[in-house]
Amino acid sequence: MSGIQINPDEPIWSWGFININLTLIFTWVTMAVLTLGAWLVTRRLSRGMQISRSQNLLEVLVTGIRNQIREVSQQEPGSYLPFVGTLFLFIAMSNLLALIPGFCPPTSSISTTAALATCVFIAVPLYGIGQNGIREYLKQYLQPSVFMLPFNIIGELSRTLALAVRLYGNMMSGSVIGAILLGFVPLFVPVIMQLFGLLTGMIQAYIFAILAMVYIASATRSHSTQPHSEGE
Amino acid sequence: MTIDWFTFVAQILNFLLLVWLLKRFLYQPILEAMDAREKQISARVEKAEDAQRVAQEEAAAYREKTGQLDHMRETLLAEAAEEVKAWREQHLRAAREDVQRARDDWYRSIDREQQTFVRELQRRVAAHVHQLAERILKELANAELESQAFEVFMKRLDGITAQERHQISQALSNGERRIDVESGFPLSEAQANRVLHSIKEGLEGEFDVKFRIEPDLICGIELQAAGYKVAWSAEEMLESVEEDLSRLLAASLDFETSRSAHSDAEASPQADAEVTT
Repeated sequence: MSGIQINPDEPIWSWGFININLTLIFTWVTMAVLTLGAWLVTRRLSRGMQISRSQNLLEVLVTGIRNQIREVSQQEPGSYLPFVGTLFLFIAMSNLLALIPGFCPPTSSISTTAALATCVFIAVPLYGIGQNGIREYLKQYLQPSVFMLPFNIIGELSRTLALAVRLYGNMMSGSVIGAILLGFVPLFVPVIMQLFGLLTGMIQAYIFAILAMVYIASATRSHSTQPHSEGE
Repeated sequence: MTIDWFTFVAQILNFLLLVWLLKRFLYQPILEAMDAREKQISARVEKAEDAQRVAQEEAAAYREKTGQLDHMRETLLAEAAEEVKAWREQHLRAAREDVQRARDDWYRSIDREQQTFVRELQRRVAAHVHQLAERILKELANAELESQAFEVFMKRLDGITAQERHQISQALSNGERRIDVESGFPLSEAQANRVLHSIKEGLEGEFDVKFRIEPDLICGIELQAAGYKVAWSAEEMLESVEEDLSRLLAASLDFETSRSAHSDAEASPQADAEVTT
């Protein structure tokens, strides 16, 4: 039970206010895997009819993300693809790498999920203002009446909190349950739990990215439609 | 579950950095490659559509050409059929004309042969009748018949007009003064004298009168003087009979020839039809 690490944010190296912990290290590992993988494939891209398997995989991935964004937002995915796609790829890769023994997924840290939720929290008004202007965007908080303003603000904050806690809870619990079961029944059962964890991780990545897109879409749509939808 | 604020800020920065990195190394190159391929496919599709359109146009052109060739072939066949028909009619006409000409030649040849045959037949029949009659007369000849023949001769001699007598006299006085009297039987003295007496009475001047027997004059007697002739003989009658017989035979054969020609003319359309077939 001593191997179970509940909080991966505990510093393993400190220098002043800089605390390097497992979350940051594994985040960089995930970023490196994603970037390096993308670079290795895209440095020799084929523009003809014959393409490599890896390029085909990436094209399927990017096309899938674009189609999902188009379906959810009913808009062209052009400007949303880098943000929403990176959210999905980062969370999915983190959760996928969690299969590796010793790898602590960054998404099991509340700091990481809060940071991602904050990014969504900031991105929603930025996309909304960029699409409709600040006046139209702020008007949405007064819908359907002025009295709804505090509830709209609370809703905005609470859904950010929900995003962060949902992902953190799922990933942290998966890791902790896996570690605990490893102590009780070291054979077979942890493997099944890991598979469940993989499924849960992919679903959580999908849910996080889709919800982010729903929030952004609700802010960028015209105010005649109902803007807020939790979608869960 | 406490938030490490340094980690929180660092993760935000990490995430923004990852967004930029993936945009730089993943989304942009992949999308550009896909767009390029899409354009390439569109170009190929467009090219294929162009090629298909060209092929369809060429196919339409070939169909039109084939139609024109068919039409031309039909026209040529019709023209050839017309030419063959005209050639056939021309040659049939020529063949008919040749046949007609050959038939006409044949008919003419037959006519000639027929005429030759008829003439020969006529000649032989007449000669035969003549010989037969001559023989009969010769066998039947007697003094009474000869006397009658002499009387007829004398009647003719006495019947010469004065003008004719004068002309004969003139002719005799200008040439030989000779008169030949030929008879198919010997004249008696009295008959000879009657002849001499008649000559002396009728003609002016003196003439040498010669009497001679000519067996060919069957029961006949003939006087010739300076190209003038007074005669009667059975031979003359026989020649008349021969002429009549020849005329009758010729008429009969002409009738037969014209009847056969008419039947041939009726049969000729059938012959033409056979040639046409």
